[in-house]
Amino acid sequence: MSILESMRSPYRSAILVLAGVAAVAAVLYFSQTSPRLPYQDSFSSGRTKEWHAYAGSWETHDGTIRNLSEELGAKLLTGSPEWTDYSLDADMMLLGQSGDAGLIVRSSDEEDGIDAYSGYYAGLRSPNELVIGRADHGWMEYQAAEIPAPLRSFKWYHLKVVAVGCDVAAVASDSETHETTVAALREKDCARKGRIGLRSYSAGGAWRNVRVTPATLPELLAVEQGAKVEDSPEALQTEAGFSAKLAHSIRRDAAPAPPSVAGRSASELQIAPIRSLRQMTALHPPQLTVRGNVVLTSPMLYIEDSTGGLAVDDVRGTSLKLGDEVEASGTVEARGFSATLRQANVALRWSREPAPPLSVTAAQAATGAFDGMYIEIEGSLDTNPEIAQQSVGMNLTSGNHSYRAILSAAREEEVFSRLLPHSLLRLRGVCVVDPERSKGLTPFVLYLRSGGDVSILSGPPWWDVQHLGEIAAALVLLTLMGVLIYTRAERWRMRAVVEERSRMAREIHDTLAQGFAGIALQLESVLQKPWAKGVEIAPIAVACQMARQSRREAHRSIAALRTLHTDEPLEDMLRKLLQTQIAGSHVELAVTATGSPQPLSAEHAGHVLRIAQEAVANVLQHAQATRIEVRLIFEPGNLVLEIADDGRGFDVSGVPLAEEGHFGITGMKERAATIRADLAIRSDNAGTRIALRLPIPPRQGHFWHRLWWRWSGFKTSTHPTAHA
Amino acid sequence: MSGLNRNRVPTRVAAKMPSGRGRATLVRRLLFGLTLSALGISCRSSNAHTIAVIPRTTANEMWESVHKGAEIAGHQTGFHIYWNAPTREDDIERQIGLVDRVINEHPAGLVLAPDHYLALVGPVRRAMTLQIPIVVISSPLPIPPGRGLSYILNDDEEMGRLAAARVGLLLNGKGTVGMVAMETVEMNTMTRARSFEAALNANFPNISIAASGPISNIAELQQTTAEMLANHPHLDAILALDGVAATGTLDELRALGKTKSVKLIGCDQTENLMFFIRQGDVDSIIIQNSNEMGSLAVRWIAARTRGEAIPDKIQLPPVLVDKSNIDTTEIQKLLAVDWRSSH
Repeated sequence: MSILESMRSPYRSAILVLAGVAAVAAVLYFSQTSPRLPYQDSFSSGRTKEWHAYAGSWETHDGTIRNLSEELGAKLLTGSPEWTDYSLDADMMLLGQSGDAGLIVRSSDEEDGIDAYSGYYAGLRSPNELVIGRADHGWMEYQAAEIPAPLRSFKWYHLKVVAVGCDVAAVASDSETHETTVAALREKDCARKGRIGLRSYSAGGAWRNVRVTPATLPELLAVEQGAKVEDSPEALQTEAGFSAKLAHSIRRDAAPAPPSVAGRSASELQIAPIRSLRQMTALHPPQLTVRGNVVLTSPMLYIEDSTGGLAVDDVRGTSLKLGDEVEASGTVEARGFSATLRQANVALRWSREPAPPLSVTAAQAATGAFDGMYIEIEGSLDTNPEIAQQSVGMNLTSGNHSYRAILSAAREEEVFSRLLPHSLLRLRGVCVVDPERSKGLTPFVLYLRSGGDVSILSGPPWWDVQHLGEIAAALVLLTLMGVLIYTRAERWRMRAVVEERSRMAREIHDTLAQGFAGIALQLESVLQKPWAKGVEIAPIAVACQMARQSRREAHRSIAALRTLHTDEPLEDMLRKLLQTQIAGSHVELAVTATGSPQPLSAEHAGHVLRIAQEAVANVLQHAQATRIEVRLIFEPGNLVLEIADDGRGFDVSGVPLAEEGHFGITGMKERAATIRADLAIRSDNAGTRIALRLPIPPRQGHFWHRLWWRWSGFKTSTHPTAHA
Repeated sequence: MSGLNRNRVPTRVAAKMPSGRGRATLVRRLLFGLTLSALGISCRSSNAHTIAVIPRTTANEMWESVHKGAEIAGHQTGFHIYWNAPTREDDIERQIGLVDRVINEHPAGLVLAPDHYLALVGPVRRAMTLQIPIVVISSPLPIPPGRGLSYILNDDEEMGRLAAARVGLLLNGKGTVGMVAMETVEMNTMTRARSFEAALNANFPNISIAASGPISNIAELQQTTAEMLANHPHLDAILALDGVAATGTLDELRALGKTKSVKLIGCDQTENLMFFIRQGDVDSIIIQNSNEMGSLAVRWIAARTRGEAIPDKIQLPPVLVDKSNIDTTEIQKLLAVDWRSSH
C-alpha cells in the first residue's frame, strides 16, 4: 500500500498540473477567439485581424472598411459564435449602381460561396429596397421593404439589425432625410446564435462605426413598431412574383435605359485590342480607347481584355471596383512589354463580378505575355512575408524563376501570419513586368488584391533546418523525460525492495529467530538437568544443536536482508556481513577491493552477497581454515569476487548434489547462472579458491545501454528478494 | 468543408482559423488537433446521409431551380443536401477545388454541373475511384457513363431545333437571323449552334444566319450586336445561345429601341428575361428543365445507395417559354426556386 501511495502521488501531481495547464489553455483560447459584448470597431487603427474574409477585396481606408469587388456574396465576419440576442448597427454605403450590401447576424458555418453561411442578412438593395431574409447555404428572402427615396451609391446610410429570440428586424435610415424603413421576419426554426458580418452582393460596399450590443425584447419591439413581421418567405421565389416586383420597380424608375454603343463603331472610337498597344511608338503617342475589365484598383488601376492588360494612370472619372467593365480613353505610353494609358478618362460600361484568373507558370509569366493580366500562379515562399503598415511583400520561387508578390493597401489578415518559408502557395494577382515596379530584381511582380488571393497548397517540408532542430529538441526532451521516469521508477522499486526486505528481516527476527532461541534455551536447560544413567539424551543434544544452528542461520538471513542497502558500497556490505558471520570463530577475515567501484543493482548485490556468505559458511563448516581472503575486483564492465582460504580443501568433483539434500555449492551455481556470472571453484590441499565473474549491468546514466542490456536477454526478476 | 457536415470545422476555415494570436497558437493547434480527431470520427457517419450538389454557380434562377428539385428529392428520400458552387460559372479552378473538398468528405453521392468540359475530368475520376456515386447534370464530360457515373443532360440539340422552328415561324421561312454567344468552355452552346444551323438549313433554307465570333464580355457583346444590326439592316431576329448573351443583347436592343422589330430568342432561364417576355421585349426563352435535373439526380443517387440499378444517361427536353404559356402551372413550376418549400 505504501508503494502504491508513493507512486500515486507523483502521478496525481502530474495529472493536476496537466489539468491546470489545459484549463488555462482553454481560458486563454476562448478569451482570445471570442470577443465579448459590447463590441465596437471603428476601423480607425487599420487593424482588422479579428475579421475573416470570405471572398471580396477588403481594405481599410480612413476609418472605413470597403469591399472593392463586385464578387457576389463577399462577406467579412467577426464576433463570437455564442452571441445570441444582440443588436448590430453600422453606417454603410453602396459602391455600385446595382446589387446590395448590408449586415449579417447570427452567422455560422461560413465558407466561400454566394449564400454559403447560415444566418440572417439585412441589406440595402438597388434601386430602393431594404431586404431581410435567411441564408442557409441558399437564400430565402422574407421581405423587401420599399425605401421612399431611391438609394444612391457613395451615400452613407445607417443600418441596424436586432435579433431577439426568433425575431429579426432591420431598420435603415437616410443620413440626410432621416427617413426610416423597417423590415422584419419571424422564423419558427430559427438560428439562435452566431457571429456578425458585413456582406455585399455585386454592389461592393463600405462600412464604418460597427457596433454590437446586447439586445432585449423592448428594443426589438421598438424597431418592429408599426412594421409587418413576415413569418414566411415572400413570393419572390416564384417567377410571377419576381416579375410583378420588377414591373413595379421599373415603373417607378421609368425603365432606366442601359448604356448603348449605337452609332459609334469600333473604328470611330479607335477601340484597340489591349495587346496591340505595346507596339505603339513613343514619338507620336496616340490617343486610344480600350475596353476591358478592372482587375486591380490599388496601387494602380489595371484593366484587361481577352488579349492583354494595361495600367491606367491619372484616372479621371468614376470610382471603380474589381470586375467592372470599363471604356478607357487616353494617351498610350508603351515601354517594353508594358503599356500605360495616361491622362485617362474611364467610363463604367457594365458592373460585373470579377472574372477568374488565367492559370500560368512562372516561366510563362516571365515572358511578359501576361503583363497587366489577372493570373493564377504557384510558388514556394522564400522567406517570411514582409508585413508593413498596410502592405505585404513576399518573395517566391517557382522553378528557375523568382518573383515578388505585393499586396498594397492590405488590411491585416491572419493568412499572412500563417505563411512559413518554403510553403507552396497558389497566388492570384495581376502580373506586372514593368521594371519600375520590379526594380529589375525579378522578371515580374504579382500584385495581389486581398489576402484571399493566397492559398496554402502545402506547408514547408518537414525536413527543413528549423523543423529538424525542433524534432531533435523534442527527442532530447523525451529522452530526458524517459531517463527521469526510469530513474524514478527504479528508485521507487528499490525503496520497495528494501522496505520489503526490512519487513522480512523483522518478521524473521521476531518469529523464527526468537523461536529458535527459545527452543535452544529450553533444550539446554533440559540437558543441564541430572539425567539418570542409561537415559538416551543424545537426540536432545542434537536437537539443541540444530536449534542453535537454525537460530544462527536465521540471524544470518536477517543480516543479509538488512545489509542490502543500495547506497552502501558493496565492499562495506560484504565486510559487515562476513564479519558478523565469522564472529565467534578463530578465522581471520580480510576483505579488499580494487579497481573503480561500480554500483550494482539490488538483485545483483544480493546474489553476490549470498554467494560469498555461502562460501564463507562452507569454509567455517568444513575447511578448518585460519584465514579467509575476500577480494572484490572491479574491472570495466565486470566484477570479480574471489574467496580464498588456507584450509584443507576438498574434492570438487565429489561434492554432493542438490538431489542428495546438499544445497550449498548447487545454490551458489544457480545464483551465478541467474546473474549470468561464471563461477569457478578450485581446491587442493593448500586451500580453496572460488572466483565469481559477473558482467555488471549498467545502472546510472546509460539508459540506452541498460535498455540494450535488457533486450539482449538479461532477465531480472521483478522480485529480487525471492532470489536473495 | 463545412457544408457537408454542418457541425464540422471546415478544413479551409480551419486553415484560416480566425485571429491567430501568437501566444495561443500552440494551444490552438493542440485543441484543434483534438477537435479534428473527434470530429473526424463522427463525420463519416453523418456524411453517409449527405448528397453534395455542386452546380456551375448559385443564386441564379436556373441553378436555384436545380436546388429546389434537389432539396425536395432529398427531403423525400432522407438525404441532407449540401449546396454550394463558385460565384461565377467560369471559375473553373474554384469548382475543382470545391469538388475535391467534397470528395474528401465521402458523401453519399455527388451531383455536378461541370463548369468545363475537360477540366473537371480529374476530380470526377477521383470520385469514381473512391466509389462515390456521381450524376453529372446539364452538360456532359468526356467520360463514358458507368462505374457509378450517370448523366442527366439538357437536350441541347433539341434546343437548337426548337430555336430553328421558332425563327422559321417568326420569319415565315424567309429572312436573316443573327446568332450570338459568349465564349464558352462547355459543350452546350456549341451543340445548340450546330443543331440550330442544321435544322434551319434543312427546314428553312431561305433564312440566312449572321453569326458572331466568340465574345468575351458584355461590352464586346453590345458592340457586336450594334455592328450586326449596322451590317444587316433587315435583321429579323437574334438567337442568343446562353443567358448572359441574351441579357446583353436585350439591353442593346432596348437601348436602340429595336425590341419590336428584331425578335430576340434566348436560351437558359433568368427571371429578368422572363419579365421581358411579359413586356414583349423578348419573344421567347428556351429553358432547361433544371428543376427535374436536380430532383432526378438526387433520386438516382438515393436509388443507387439502395443497390438499385439506375440509367446511364438521359436527356431532358427543353421547353420554349413565350407570352402565351408563361403563366401556366407547368412553366411556373419549372421556373420555381423556392428551395425551402421542402422544409
